[in-house]
Amino acid sequence: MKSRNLLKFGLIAAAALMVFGCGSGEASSSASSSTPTTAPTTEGKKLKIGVSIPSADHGWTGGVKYWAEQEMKKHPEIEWVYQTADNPAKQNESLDAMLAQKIDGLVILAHASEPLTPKAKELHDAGVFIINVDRGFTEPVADIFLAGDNKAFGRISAEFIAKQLGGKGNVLILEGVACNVNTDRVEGAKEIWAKNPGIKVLDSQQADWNQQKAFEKMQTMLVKHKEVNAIWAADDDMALGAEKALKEAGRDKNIFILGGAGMKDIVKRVMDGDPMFPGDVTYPPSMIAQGIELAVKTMTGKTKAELKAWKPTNEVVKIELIEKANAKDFYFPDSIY
Amino acid sequence: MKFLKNNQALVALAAMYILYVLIDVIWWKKGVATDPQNLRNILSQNSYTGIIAVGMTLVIIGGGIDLSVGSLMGLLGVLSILALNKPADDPTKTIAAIVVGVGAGALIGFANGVIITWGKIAPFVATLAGLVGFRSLALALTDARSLTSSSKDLFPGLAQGGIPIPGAVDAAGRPLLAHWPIFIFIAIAAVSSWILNRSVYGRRLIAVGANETAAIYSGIRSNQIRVISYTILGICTGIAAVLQGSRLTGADPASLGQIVELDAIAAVVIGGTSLNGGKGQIWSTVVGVLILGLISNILVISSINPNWQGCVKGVIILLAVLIQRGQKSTS
Amino acid sequence: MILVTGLTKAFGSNVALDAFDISIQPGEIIGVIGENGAGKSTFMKLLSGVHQPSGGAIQIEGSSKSFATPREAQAEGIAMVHQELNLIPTLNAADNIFLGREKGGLTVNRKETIAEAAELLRLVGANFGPEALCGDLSVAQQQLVEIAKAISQKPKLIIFDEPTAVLGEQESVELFTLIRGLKEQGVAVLYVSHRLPEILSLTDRLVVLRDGVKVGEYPTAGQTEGSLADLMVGRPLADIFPQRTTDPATAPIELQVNQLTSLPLVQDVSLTLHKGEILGIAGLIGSGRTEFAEALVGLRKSSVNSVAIDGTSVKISGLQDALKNGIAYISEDRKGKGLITSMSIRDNICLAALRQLSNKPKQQETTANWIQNLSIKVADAELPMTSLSGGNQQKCAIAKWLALNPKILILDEPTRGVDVGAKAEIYALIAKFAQEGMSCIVISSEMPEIIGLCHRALVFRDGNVEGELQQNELTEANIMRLAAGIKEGGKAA
Repeated sequence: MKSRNLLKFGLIAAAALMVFGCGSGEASSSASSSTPTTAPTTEGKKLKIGVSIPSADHGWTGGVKYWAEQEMKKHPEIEWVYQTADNPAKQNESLDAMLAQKIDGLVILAHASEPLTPKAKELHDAGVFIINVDRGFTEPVADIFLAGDNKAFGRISAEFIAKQLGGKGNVLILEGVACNVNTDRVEGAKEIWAKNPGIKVLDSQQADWNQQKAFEKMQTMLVKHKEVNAIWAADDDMALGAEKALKEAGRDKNIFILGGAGMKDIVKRVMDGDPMFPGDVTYPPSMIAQGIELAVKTMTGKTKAELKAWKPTNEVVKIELIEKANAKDFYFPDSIY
Repeated sequence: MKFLKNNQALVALAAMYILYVLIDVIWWKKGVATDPQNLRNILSQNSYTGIIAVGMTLVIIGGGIDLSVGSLMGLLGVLSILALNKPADDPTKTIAAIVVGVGAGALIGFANGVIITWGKIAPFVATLAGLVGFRSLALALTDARSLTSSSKDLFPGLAQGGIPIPGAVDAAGRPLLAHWPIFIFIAIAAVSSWILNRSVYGRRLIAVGANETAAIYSGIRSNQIRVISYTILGICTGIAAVLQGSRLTGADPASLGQIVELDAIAAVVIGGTSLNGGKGQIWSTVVGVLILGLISNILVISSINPNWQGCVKGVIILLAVLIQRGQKSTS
Repeated sequence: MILVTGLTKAFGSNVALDAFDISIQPGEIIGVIGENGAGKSTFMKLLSGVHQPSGGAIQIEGSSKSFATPREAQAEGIAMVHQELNLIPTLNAADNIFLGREKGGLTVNRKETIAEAAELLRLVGANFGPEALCGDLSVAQQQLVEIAKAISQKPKLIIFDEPTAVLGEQESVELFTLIRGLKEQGVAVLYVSHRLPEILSLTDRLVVLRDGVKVGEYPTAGQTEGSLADLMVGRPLADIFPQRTTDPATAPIELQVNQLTSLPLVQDVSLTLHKGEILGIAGLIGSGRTEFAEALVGLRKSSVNSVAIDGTSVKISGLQDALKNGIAYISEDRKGKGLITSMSIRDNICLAALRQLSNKPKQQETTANWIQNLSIKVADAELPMTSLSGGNQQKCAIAKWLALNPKILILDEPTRGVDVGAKAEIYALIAKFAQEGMSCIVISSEMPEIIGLCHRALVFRDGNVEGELQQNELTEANIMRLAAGIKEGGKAA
């Protein structure tokens, strides 16, 4: 009886593995099963580059996945090893797997900085060329760091709110999942408001980057706070949830929402002059595509030794304010985000 | 006195609410604890989890458990919005969305039950497979994109419409609506309570959950009984998914229904239903849902640092269960 | 009426019942006896649809039947009162009686259910109503619900499996009256019991099984306990009780308990136990015997004036304290509290002494020793406990505590559900322990056991010691008198 149960458990585990294995395997094969063009390295074989990103658990990470897959398709000359991960621990494991597959380079958007730094260092020490996107490691292990600037995200959007309110008004905050990204954005925003004594932050709640949670938390905050002039949300998904709560409570007049990350639906409404969304800030998930492109450009044609001698460089993805005037430059109707 | 002893969950809920009102009156002075809009929000926000928790109560009383409902809700939401977005006129679309969402829920619930009973796989394991599998299926079907409902009128009205609460208006001067899901939740709870306490099926479900061998010796087809309970839960999950899709005018495959299974099981347990099966009540689960909803509401209103809210919530849940235990041991 | 021919059941290569024939007529009471593992349970389970036969036929009123489920057997008029109680604790008596055959269509017809249940409960002599929650009923009361449930099916045949195992004397007497009443109404009864006096007084004829084979069918008249035991075991069994050679009354006092109280069932119980003595504790079900033992070893909350072992005062607030002081308690509930039946024989025997038996070789050695010392019949000590018969399981339960070298051994119903042969072996073991200087307390509902085994006995009544009987005073009449609270004059207290 006992052994039968064990057997069953094994079968289920195997089935589960197959489901997931297929999920990610399909993506990697579609990216790697490209035409066998001649190897671009001087060492005579195809470059093998790993791409490790968080799995799509909300709109923005969905965008990351989309842009990463688009960019990999553009470069069939590279052998891609592509993995998404639910959490930092899983991402660590997938890095181990990539190391075992002897990748030459790695493009990584880390779930979180601290837990992944040691593993990234291990890969770096093993001679893997590392392009780190968005969230920086706590040690200088990246050869190229393409930084997303979450503090700037917070500052720019907070400044816009202050300007829009004429330096005076009440603000509610919707935060994402507690993590560095969220903390940087919220701190950036609060720095600005600290300099604007007329702006009062009434309340701040976590809505986990999730539309439904943002909706519900905002419903409750609106009951408590009768005078609200603006809502600052740490990303556009939550901004949409906040809007639903405002409409549902009949509080959608004389108030506006500022999210961020440049979701196409929101950018469209900025472009159309919707009073609910006078602006947005960019934090494009396409930065992963930039990272992948950088990897291909930098690594192609270089020898191992040349890459080893590479001096680490830093680049910052510029965070820009989207307003009605410039919105059309940021509107990509074909993007999934 | 006997009533109180037999209704510990209700005592916990009442105690919590009275505390809420007192803190509000003495300390915050905002009137939120008695604000009709806030109370309506609590009911409305928790009716979705509540509908699932009612089905979960039946499954747990029958000696099972279902961890897959959260992911299933995501999948059913996606399926129902996909059905909705087929080109057709609005009423047809909406009916298609309901039929697909609820129908697929029933089918998958039935399949869960069959795997558990005739497949002889422990409920925990079988539905754990569903927990990971259904979410993945939802993501795969949509390529991880959020779906937006194409119905502008009828479908959103399912969850966004309702009955005006007499005398209450919102900030825009419109009558405050008690949303349909609140009534659907109450209706499902009432029907399930009747099933559990009055129907022949209910007797047999309790018997199977308490002592399956004894039930079989009494001539009960225990597999059939258990499969029905999972099917009912699947239907409940489908209803909740369609309504949530209506409320959010779309479905996000990644986040819809996330950890609803834990909230639903927590509500069942807080209400006082034993995880061992064979014992429990629907209305006590309804109270459990309200306790959880009230806790979340209090936490948001109290402006406790979001990072600490989980701790506070955990302590309050333990306290609620302890209040029940205390009541029980004095009886 | 019912004709069984060539009924055979094999579990894998093990033939549990081999070509069994029997013919049952209306209004007959047939006793079924045999040692544990003789095939009695298998036979009953085949007849009641729990198991399906590997061969043979069951004919009812001349037409051949096969039962895939208990439901189908019930439909053909065969009801069974199981030995393990099969009630739903969270449902009331009425719902339990009609479980699976509820009154009403979609909805339960409560009025009718309650009314009919009340009538049935009255018939079986229950002192509780149909709306009593089964979980709140005593084991004996639950047994009455089981019986009412069987009768409610208006069966042609009722099978009773050890019905008196959990009943007190009085309740047993009422049950026999009921069974004789059923006989008058033309219902056939199969009566399975280890209690040979019951078989002798109740049945018309009897069937003896041994090792899955029918030894024979005999009219009950003319048989004696001795002849039945011989038939079951297949060899003469002179006396199942060993000689009591020593007189421990003069030996030093090993254990002295002064006024132990554990409400609500035990009040101010005091006792003394000499070295090498076998002290019996008799009394009716619910008189607080088990609760006293559990309180003494710290399994129940209690207050006590003093407990002294070897003259030294000790404090026992948990089972660990009891074990440290050399007291071991072997529960009456072998399957529920005594053994972990899904674990192996070795794991069970070594469970209490794991700290001393930290590695596998040590455990194997200890297990092998006990298997030999207690002559436990074991094919392989790594097999699960369920592979053993009741008697051998009980020996394992005893071995588990002996592995700790206790000075005082409390055995609660040591031979419940154990066949005659194994009983004799267990009695011999207890006598041997006592001879070697261990002090034993034997709690038993079987009066012959108290009378034949013990040096002295206390009789409990309502949580108190009603009286003490020396070896020469140990008779069924004396024990019953004290247990029922009847004063010397013959009047009930």
